Amino acid sequence: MKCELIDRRIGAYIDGELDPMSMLDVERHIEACARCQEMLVFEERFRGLVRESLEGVEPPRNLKAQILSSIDSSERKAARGSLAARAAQVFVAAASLTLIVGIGLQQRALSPEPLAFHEASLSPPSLVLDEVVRIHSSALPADVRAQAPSEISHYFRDKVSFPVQPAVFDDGEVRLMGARLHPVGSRTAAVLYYEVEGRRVTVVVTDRDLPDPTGRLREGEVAYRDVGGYTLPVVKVGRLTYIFTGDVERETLLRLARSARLAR
Amino acid sequence: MRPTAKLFSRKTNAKREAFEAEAMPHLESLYLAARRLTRSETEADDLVQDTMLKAYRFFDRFEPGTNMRAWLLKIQTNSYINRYRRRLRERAFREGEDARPVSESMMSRGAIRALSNPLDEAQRRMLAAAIQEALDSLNESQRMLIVLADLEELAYKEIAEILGCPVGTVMSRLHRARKAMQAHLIDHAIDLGIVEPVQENEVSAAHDEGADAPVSLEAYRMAREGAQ
Repeated sequence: MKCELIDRRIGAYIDGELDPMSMLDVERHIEACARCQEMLVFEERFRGLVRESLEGVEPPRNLKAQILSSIDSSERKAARGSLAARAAQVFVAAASLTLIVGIGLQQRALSPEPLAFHEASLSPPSLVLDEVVRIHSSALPADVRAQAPSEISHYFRDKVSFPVQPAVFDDGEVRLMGARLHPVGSRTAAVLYYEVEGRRVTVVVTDRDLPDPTGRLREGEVAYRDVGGYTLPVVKVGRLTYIFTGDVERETLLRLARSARLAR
Repeated sequence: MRPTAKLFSRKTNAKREAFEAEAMPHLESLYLAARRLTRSETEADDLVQDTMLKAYRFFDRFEPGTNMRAWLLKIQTNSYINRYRRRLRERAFREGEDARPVSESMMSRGAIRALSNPLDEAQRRMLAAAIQEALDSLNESQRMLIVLADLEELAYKEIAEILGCPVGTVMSRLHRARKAMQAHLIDHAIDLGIVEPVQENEVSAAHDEGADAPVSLEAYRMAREGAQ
């Protein structure tokens, strides 16, 4: 066997993945060949270096707890939802999907219409969106009460790692009420509180990439996902993601998300 | 016992407990692979969480007696591929996956020996950084192979099943991936002074001598006579 052939098999030889005959062939060659002996020493050393250089990464301490708590919440949801309710959900999801696709085909060039992220059955539940629902539904008090976008931006200046520009709307009924800091995953997000016709709307601004729209959602497009009875439109602005939700109709939320502009 | 446990049926509790006992111990392994694949803390975090939730949902499909870690890594690798499919496709297109020929000759014996010698702590640290860079320099599919084979040390058969290709393909692609990493590493090792660029050195030394030597007719004549 030639040295070149040994080079190509030496990795598999070290891994113990050659068939017994080839194993023996390689062994016999190496015993008689100084060059390939050096190669074997090197390959083994290289393997060790790779392992020791790439190891030593510890998961964040709260990862396990986060996973267990989302398992619990998915079990709770499953326990609550009766079969009929779930069938209805599927029906609604299917209906809205068709509707959106239909609109998308006709009007997409003119005005960006919401895109559903994925078929519900394929996509993993997004933990970020779950957290946004939790933030909204727990209705924690605002850290800062202010109606001027500039005051809100100022409040966040030294508290999050990105400049926060609150979303503003042409709709005069939408009022900015205040804001607070809240962790989303391992990062701090800006939570903006609005009121629309006396109902609460929450907008979370995060620099965390959402898993679902990666590659799908383009700048300025609105996508939405239904989580736990809430609709969550999502808009990407640069490297930031704006996630909307609230106690208003889906259509209202989608309309808000589509008409949102950034306060300067 | 967690306080929420009593909310669930006995069956759910049993599943949860089994999952915690059998799948959770592999969390570190999954996270390590995720970090090396995604190269990002947040993405790794999301990927592992998705993986574990999927694994929990499909926990009854795990065949007892088979490798739990390989099963989890399969879910995770598939999630990764699905999530970044577009990016992966773009890369494969741009880099012409597997198109670059692997030159066997770039590994000089000097380099091989130098890297086989014992290393001191500082050299080790520098090489560790170089190896991480070398991994990052690979294309996605090569990186997956190195992570699954050299970091997670799965069997070729398990890797073949995860990536949906024949065992022979795993073997040849892994060989390429390792060679690509070694080439990158040797470049770094030369920069770090751990490996001497033997041939280049000799060539440039000869060149410098010629350029810097004072012009001497005597030497020129002697060289000419020697050549004849």
